[in-house]
Amino acid sequence: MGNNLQKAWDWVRKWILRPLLSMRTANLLMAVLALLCGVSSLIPQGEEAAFYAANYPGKSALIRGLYLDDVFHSWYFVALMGLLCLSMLLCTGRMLVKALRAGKNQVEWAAALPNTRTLRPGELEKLRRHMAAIRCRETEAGESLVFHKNGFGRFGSFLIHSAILLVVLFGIGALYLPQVQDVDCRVGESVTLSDGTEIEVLSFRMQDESGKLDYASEIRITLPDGQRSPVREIKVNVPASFGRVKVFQWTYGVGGAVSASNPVTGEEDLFELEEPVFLSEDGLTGVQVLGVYEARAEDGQDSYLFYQVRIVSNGTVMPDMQVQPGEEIRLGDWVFRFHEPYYPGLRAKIMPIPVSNSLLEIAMLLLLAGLFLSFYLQPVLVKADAEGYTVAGPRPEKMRLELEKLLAEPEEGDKA
Amino acid sequence: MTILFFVSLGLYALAFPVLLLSALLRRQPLKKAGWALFVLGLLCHLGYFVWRGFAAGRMPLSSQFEFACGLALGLALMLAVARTRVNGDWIAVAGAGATALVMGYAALQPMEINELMPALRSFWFSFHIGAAVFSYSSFLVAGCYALRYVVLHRRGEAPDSRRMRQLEYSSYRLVALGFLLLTAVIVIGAIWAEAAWSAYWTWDPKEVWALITWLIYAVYFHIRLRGQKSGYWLCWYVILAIPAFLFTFAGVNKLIPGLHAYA
Repeated sequence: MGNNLQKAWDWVRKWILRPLLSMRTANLLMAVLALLCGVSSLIPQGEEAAFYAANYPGKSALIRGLYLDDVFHSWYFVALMGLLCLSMLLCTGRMLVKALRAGKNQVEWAAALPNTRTLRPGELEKLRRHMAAIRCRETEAGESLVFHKNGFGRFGSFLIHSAILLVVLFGIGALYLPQVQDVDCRVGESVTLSDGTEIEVLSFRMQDESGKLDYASEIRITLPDGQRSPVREIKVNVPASFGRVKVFQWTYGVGGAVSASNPVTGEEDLFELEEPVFLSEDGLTGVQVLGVYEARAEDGQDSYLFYQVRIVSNGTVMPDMQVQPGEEIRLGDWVFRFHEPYYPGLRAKIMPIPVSNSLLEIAMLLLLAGLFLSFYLQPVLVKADAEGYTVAGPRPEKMRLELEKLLAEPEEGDKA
Repeated sequence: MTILFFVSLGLYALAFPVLLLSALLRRQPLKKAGWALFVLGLLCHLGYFVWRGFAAGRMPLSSQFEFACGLALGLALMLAVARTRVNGDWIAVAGAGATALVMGYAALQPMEINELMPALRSFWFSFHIGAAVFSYSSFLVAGCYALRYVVLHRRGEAPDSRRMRQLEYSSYRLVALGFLLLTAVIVIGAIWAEAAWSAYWTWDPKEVWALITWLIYAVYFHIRLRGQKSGYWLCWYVILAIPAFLFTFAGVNKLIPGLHAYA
C-alpha cells in the first residue's frame, strides 16, 4: 500500500507538479493565451449567429464550433487561465519558501562563496567606499566583508505573483458577482431595483459648471432596510455608492416624452421616445417626432432642449419645426403635449460584498509595488576580501557591471 | 504655433541622416551637429506640446495625433536621458530615426484640437495616457539598445564583453520600466473604466492588445530569468516585440472598432 502511495506521489510529482512548477510551462501558457487574445480581436466577439453567417459565409459554423465568437468564455480559454493560475500558485509558494530561506544566514552564506574577481592592492578600500556611498551595510564574517542592502527586495517576485492571483480572484468576483441593472428614470420619479433598493432622480443637467457638455443627475438612494442616502450627484466618471449599491450615469443622452390625448373620446397615451416615431391614428395625419436636441441660446452661454417635429397632414409632410417642452400641438381631435425631456439611463450595480472593489484595487496596487520592488530594489549581496570579491544575490547583474566599471581599467568600446 | 510641430519634425528628420553619417564615417563634428539638430528638434517639440496643452486646456494626449506627438516627445526625452548613461552613436541613430517616423505618423493624423468628451474628462486621463506614452517610449528605446547589441554581435563582438553585457542589461532595464508603466496603464485604465463604464475589464480590443503586449513582455522576463538564452536571443526578442505595442497604439484604433476608438 505504502509502495503504491509512493508510486502515485512520484507520478503526481513527475507529471503534474514538475510541469506546473516549470517556467517553460508558464511561458507556453502565456504565449498561447496571448495568441488566443490576438485571434479574438480579429473576429468580433459576442455577436448573434446571424452576424457570423452574414459576415463569414461558409466559416460561421467553424467559428461558432471553435467558440471563436466568444473566446474569453470558451472552455479552453478558461482552462488555460486556470492552469496558469495553478502554475502561478505553486510557483508563488515555492518563491516564498526560497525568499524566506535566502533571508536566513545570507551573510554567512555569501562569506563562504569563492571569489570570482581578483582585487589589486588598494581596490578593497575603493570597493568599501563605493559600497558605503550606495548605502550598503557592511558585515564582517571571518576574514571576509559582506556588503548587503535591499534584503526585502527578494520578496518582489513573490509579491508580483501573489498580487496577480489576487487580481484574477477579485477580478472574477468584480466581473461576475455584481447584479447589474440598467434603468430608465425621469426627473422627479423613482425606480425600484430587483433587491428593493429605490433610486430617486431629483434633477438632471447636461452641462458642467463651465458650460461644457456633461451629464449629471442628483439622486437619492433608499436601501431595502429603509436607510436613505443624502442627495448625491452622479456624473459620467463619478458614480455614487451607498451600501452595496453603486449608481452610474449610464446612457449619455436624453429622451423625450409626448402625451397624445383626444378630448372628444377621452383617450390618452404617453409615449416615451428614444428614437424617431410617427404618432398617428390613421397613418396619414399625425406628428413625426424626430428627436430631442440641445441648442445654444442667443447669448451663446446657456443651452436649451427642444423637440424636432414634422407635421404630416393627409400624407403631406410639412417643414420641420422646433417645439419647446411644455408646448402643445393640436391636430384634428388630438392634442400632442411635449413633456420636459428626461435622462433615461442609470446603471445600478448591486455588489454582494461592499468592499470587493477595494480589495481588487488593493491587489492591483500590490502588483505595482511588487514590480517596483523587483525591478528597482533588487537585493545587493557582495562578498569581498583582500584577494577578490564576488557578487551574489538573485539578480546580481547591476552590481556586477557597476563594480567592474569601478574597479577595472576602462575597456575599449565602453561607449556603445 | 503648428509651425513648431513641423519644424521639430524637420529637425528630427534632418538629425537622423546626419547622425547616421557620423556613425558610418566616425566623424565627431558630424555627430555633434546631428545631436544638436536632435536637441533643437526636442526643444521645438516641447514648446509645441506645452502650447497645445495650454490651447486645449488639458494634457494634449487625447487623439491619435496628440498621442503620437506625445510618444515621439517621450521617445526623444528618453533618448536624451539614455545618452547620459550610454553614449551610443548607433542608439542615437536608431532613436532619431524612430522619433522622426513617429512624428511623421503624427503629421498624417487630423491635427485639430477637440474638446474632450465627458467620458474622457477624468482625473485619471493624464496618468493613464501619460504612462502609456512613457511605457511605449521605453520599449522603443529598449529596442534601439537591443538593435545595437545585435549589430555588434554580428560584427563578432564577444557576448561577455562589458559593453555587450551593458547593452543587454540597459535594454532589459528599459523593458522593465516600460513593463512597470504598462502595468500602471492597465491598472489605472481598469479603475477608470469601473467609474465610467461600471466594469474594470470589458475585453475591449485596446484592453486585449494591452494584455497581449503585457504577456509578451512577461514571457521575456521569465525567459531572461531562466538564464538559458543568450543576450543575442533576448535582444532579438525585444526587437520583435516592438510591433505588438505599436499595434496596440495605432493598429487597434485604425483596424478594430471598440470603446477606445476616439483615442
